[in-house]
Amino acid sequence: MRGIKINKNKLVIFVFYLYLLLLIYLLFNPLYFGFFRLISPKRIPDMAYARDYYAVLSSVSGIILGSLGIILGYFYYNNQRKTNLSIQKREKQCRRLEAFINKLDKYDEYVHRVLTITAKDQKDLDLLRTLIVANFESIQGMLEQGYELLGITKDDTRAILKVNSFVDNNETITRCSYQKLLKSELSSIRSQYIELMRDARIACYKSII
Amino acid sequence: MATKVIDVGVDFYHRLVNRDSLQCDGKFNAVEFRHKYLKELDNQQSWENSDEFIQLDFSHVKKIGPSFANEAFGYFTKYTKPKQILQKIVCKNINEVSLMIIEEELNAGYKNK
Repeated sequence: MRGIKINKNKLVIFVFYLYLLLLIYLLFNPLYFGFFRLISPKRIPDMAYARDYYAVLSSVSGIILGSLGIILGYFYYNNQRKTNLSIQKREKQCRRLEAFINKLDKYDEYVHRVLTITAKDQKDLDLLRTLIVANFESIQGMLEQGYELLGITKDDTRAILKVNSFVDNNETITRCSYQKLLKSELSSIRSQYIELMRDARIACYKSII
Repeated sequence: MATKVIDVGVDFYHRLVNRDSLQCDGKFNAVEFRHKYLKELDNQQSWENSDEFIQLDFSHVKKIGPSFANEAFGYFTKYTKPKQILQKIVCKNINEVSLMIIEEELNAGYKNK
């Protein structure tokens, strides 16, 4: 059976309020007027009694207030530390993801340059293919470091890997000679590629809050 | 029969990227890998059971590319389902992303028909 989950912060604040109420009651208790007359029939017999009473009350409440202050301070410090750590973690994750998206942008650019035949000759085309491979190696390396560090899930990772699976397995993109590249064929490949890249980008962007 | 154990990165190569001799420099390609280590699985009878046939140790492998995985492992999807392929060909010490690449190629099927 699961126990009741108690929020420590709320509990301390509740105890603090309870203490304040008690303190107010104890402060006005001996004065014997108004509402307190109903719940406390006591009067202050003399000034010596009042002095002793308030001296005890002040030292006891001082100790209690001090202890509560320390406890509240501890909780405040703990919460602040947790919040700072969580912000730092998120900032690191965002920086990593930014670098990752930059790599994906570069990869996308080189694939598009092959698909739109912007290469001037076979040498230029070979260079673009090398850049595609090199860029995805960096992307894969970042994923291997831990896709969780980028704030993405296993399914998101699969969506990103699908893009490279399509590119790497496509003979036209990876090995067709410059002379044999046909614009008509490339346009159908491009539309499939764009679909896959869109899914990969969605996978990346959805982790950015 | 005892299961073969291959340290892929040492016995073959640490960069598994080329599908065949026509891709990039063509060296250490998937066709060569399949013929060297998985030739016995290239018939329907071999897939009648799910007994482990080979253990591939990827601890020294730096990279595995989709086209290599497709040619080396996806090729067998013509005989059986992805799950049975990974039961017969056991990948050891492989990182999660590389395994995802292999699984993706097995699920997508052989692309060089």
